[in-house]
Amino acid sequence: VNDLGFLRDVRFETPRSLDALWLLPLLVVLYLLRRRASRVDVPFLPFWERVLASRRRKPSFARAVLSVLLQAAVFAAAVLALAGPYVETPAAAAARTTFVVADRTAAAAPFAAEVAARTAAAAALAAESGPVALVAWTAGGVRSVRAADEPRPLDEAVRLLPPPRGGRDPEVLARALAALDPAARVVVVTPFTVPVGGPLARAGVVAAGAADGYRNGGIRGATRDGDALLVRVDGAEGRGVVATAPAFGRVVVPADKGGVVHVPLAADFSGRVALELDPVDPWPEDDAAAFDVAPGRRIAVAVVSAGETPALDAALRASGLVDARRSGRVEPARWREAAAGFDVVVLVGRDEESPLPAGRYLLVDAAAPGLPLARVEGPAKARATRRAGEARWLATLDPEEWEIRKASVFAATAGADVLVEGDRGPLFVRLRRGDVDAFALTVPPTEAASTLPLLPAFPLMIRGLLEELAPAAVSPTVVAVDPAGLRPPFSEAPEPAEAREAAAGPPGAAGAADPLVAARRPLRRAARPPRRRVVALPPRRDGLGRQDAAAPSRPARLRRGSSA
Amino acid sequence: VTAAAASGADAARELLEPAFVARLERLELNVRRLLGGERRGDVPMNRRGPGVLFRGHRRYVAGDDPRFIDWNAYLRLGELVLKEFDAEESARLTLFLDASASMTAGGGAKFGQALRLAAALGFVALARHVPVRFVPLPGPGGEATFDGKGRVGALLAALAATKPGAKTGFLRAFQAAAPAGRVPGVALVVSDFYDVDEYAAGIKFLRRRGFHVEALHLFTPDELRAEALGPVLLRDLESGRTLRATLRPDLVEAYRETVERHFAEVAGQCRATGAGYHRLDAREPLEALVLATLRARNVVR
Repeated sequence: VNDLGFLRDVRFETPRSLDALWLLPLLVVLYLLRRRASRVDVPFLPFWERVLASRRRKPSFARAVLSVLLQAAVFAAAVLALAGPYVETPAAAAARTTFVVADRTAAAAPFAAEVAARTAAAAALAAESGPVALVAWTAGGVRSVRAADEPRPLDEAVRLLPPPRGGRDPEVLARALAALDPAARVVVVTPFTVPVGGPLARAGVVAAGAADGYRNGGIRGATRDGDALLVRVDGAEGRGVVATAPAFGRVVVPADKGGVVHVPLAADFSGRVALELDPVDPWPEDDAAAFDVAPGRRIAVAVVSAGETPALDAALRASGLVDARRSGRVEPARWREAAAGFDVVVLVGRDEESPLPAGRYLLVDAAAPGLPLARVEGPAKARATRRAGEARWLATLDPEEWEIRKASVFAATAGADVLVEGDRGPLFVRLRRGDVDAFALTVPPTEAASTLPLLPAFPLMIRGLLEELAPAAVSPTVVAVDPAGLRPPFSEAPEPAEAREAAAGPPGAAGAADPLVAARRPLRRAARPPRRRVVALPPRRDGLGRQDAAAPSRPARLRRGSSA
Repeated sequence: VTAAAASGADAARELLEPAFVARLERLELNVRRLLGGERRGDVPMNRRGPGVLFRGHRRYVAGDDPRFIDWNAYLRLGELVLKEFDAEESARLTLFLDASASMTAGGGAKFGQALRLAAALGFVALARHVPVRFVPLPGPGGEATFDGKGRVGALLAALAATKPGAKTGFLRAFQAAAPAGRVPGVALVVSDFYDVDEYAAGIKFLRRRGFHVEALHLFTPDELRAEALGPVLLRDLESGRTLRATLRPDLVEAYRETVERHFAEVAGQCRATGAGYHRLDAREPLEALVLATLRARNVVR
């Protein structure tokens, strides 16, 4: 009996839950009203006896009573567990102060009255089981308002809460919670959802049902498109994206439409761009981001051709590597004079009489002296037989699909790297001779000449060879920092597993992980906070986001921790 | 006599519909050979033998009785042919009707169909001048013999007066109904064969006495499954014994398998003793049972 003496000190965190024990007699009533056995006439009972002999579980009164007792015990245990029992030792009782934190930041201003009402209710409830300290979370941090152990002074103290003002800094509140005695209970009254991964969550607040319909906005990712940084934002309507970089200072771009915001960049820009949504929302962790933009630019391509080359032009445009403003057609007679202004020159249907000047070339049905490739016969039928190149961008080309109806026969000599062979000669060749770096496609880029322009591999071939000819034109890479943990330094190398986890994004982030982002900084993890019970009492809101003052308060348990 | 006739007419209407009776008049029992010695009579057997019903011709072979040579055919064909006739013997039908309480399982449909089936087959026999001996099981008692078509009403009245309710006892009833020395005949046993202790011995006894036995095993699909699941009080219709149980689908399935096994045992026992076995669904219409099922199985023709 002495061992069970502690039962006298058992208290319950939510004693009202024990009212559910009044439902126990209902179990007995249900047992009494249970379905009685119905009589079934059978022609030959021994058959049933034979069947039941091996499988029967004989129903008995004792078993039925035991069953109902067990059900009652399970039900009672569940109710007691839900009521949150704990043993109130004198020391713990003295230390078990409940801190009721009211959100009085500016973001919570529209809900100030509701927060005050819920704070009063929470304080009154907490006062039943011990002393209560009323705390305001407001500009500059956390401010104590009043401490008492009776409902009446607490009710008056709620009126002393400061008016909502200032920004929300969850870190400050988290630090304050971490500094409390682990045995203390904390009730946070806030109108907003507590995002997982944020400081409050790390302090023990892991979920809340508050602020139905509230959408946490933020920066979700970015990629570079030539002279613009395409910033993906979510829930940023009515706000602006502030981009800051040493190279161009501070640029503000409105994000009225949400989605993708174009931040202008110089064509040769490289370096770090800091982005921030202005104004920040109640949960500002994902409203700021920084991106390392790699150097890169698009290339200028000159097409030298006596006729139209629509298929080739389309493939060049589709590559995404060609700077349309600086690229174009050059008059065949004067292309050598203009070649210096282009990164790559495409010669179509030409047999040059003199060697090519230094540069990068794509020869399409073209030849030039000095190169290990020469035209040897006139147009004839042919077919592709083998793909020799190992380049990834060439892998999609199926030689059997490439039917050549009319193309000159070329012969390759030593120094030519044949990537695709045909039955009458090389079809696609890599050529390097001195300062000349070139690819040669021996088939005219028309549908009349071959099926190549119709193949999906064609634009990939064009993009691939341009990337090889002008490596600087590779697609610009933007290294982003995960919005959920946006704190310097940015130089930390991401670990794959953590990067994957971070790529899942924060809760409430409507945007998925950005597939173009090459790497993410690992999510920073705070040391596990002391386990404590933290409760948020969210005000209820109607479907339009307005607060519903008449709605009853329903505490939402977030995490139960061990008491001291 | 008038009252008896009236009750017979009522019973006839109750058990057999007039249109069906007209179809039954064209049927006869399909009896091939009666054991226990041949007695000449007027019931055609389904085999060659002495009689007056012409069956066909066949070539004469040495040893044949020259009295049956068809001389007219010889004059026309120049070949000796023999005339053959259907055997005609004196037959007797014994109708054993199971009137035990188990026959009322499933709302009495089984017993009602057993009565109608016995009435139809009894009518077929009486219409062909085959005497009918009606023996309700478990007996003894309630037996009656009917001879001649004019006794159909009395047979039907006797059937209609039969009430189910006792416990089956095949062997004792068979022994009482077929004592040694009595002329055997055709024995139709209409039962659900839940007398698991005695049915096999009873059938064997009848066969030893020389009866041509046809076992008509009536059942209803309800017997094979239990509609109720959960706690039930099972009550034996014959003994009145009860058993509490909680029925689960696996138990019901096991019961069905047990009953199916018993049915198969009954069929095997009958065939082993040379008796005909016919499992009949009592829910099927009587016309279908007699005119289709039993005719297809050569019980009637």
